[in-house]
Amino acid sequence: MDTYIVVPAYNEAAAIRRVVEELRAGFPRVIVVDDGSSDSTSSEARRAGATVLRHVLNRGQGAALQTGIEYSVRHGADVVVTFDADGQHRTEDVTRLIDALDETGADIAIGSRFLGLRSNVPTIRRFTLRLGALFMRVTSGVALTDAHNGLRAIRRRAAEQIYLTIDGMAHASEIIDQINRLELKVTEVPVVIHYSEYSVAKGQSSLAAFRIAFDYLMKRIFR
Amino acid sequence: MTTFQLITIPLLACAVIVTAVAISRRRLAPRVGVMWLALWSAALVSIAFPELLVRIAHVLGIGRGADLVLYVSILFTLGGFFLIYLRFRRLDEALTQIVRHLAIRDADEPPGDDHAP
Repeated sequence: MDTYIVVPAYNEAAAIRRVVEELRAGFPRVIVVDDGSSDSTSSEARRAGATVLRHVLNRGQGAALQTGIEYSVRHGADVVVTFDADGQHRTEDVTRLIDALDETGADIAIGSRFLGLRSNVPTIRRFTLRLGALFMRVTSGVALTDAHNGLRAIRRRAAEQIYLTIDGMAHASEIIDQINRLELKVTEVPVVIHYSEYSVAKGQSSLAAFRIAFDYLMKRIFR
Repeated sequence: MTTFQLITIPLLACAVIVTAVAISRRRLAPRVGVMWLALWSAALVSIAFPELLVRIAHVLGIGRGADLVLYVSILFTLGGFFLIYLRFRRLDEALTQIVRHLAIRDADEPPGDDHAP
């Protein structure tokens, strides 16, 4: 089975090499989408053995993911995995997600940091994410414990249908909305998110949730 | 006639004529042209016959003609902002598609099993 790991990266030169090397130990096909970085993200990723796609302009994480997904589908991926570039995910969780696809027959497996396994989630972030999951439950009707996890495994037939149009961070909500609309079968898998000083500094501010919700709602209204 | 009217009425009359000519020579899309024509004409009429504006304002329950102009122009401005916002979104989407197309076209060699560690 051909698994493609898509890693969207924006100015992640400091972290990308280790992330790609660890992934490549288990999965040879690692696609790094360099989203217009101004640092050496592309060359670091190449040195670690990734296939690099480069956005000439920064278009946002959702845009980068869609580029990587499209590329993977075109090159014959059976499963497309999305994986963050900042080192917050664990490679072994990728295997768990893919196993979950096989066991449940789901079209898409989404990681959850709120199921069983313990992540060191900061309190404010925990609250924001829970609220986000509730928000998605209300707006799209899909019940997930962690609606905004960057670690997902998507079966080919689902990856072909999903089309992310929100360039920014609201793509996570958009995926869930499309899961609902395309009637895809989704399963959640406990994963561990590692909150390092680096990943927290690179990540979203909790206040960004308002902007993300706005982007998502505007998209739903003016699609 | 006030000085203000002496200055603005000829200017607006010119605007009406220029717009009409632009439409007839197909320099402006008919729909857009008619919108501008309506805007210039409305301004022209309300400056030339201010008492007419006051009567319309009264019908709408607004005390002064100037207030009516203020409210209507704020509404138009907001509507304009909104249209620009929507257009921006479309441009953004188009830009992303171009950037994506280039990224996929100029991609590295596809990963093969020979790359496996």
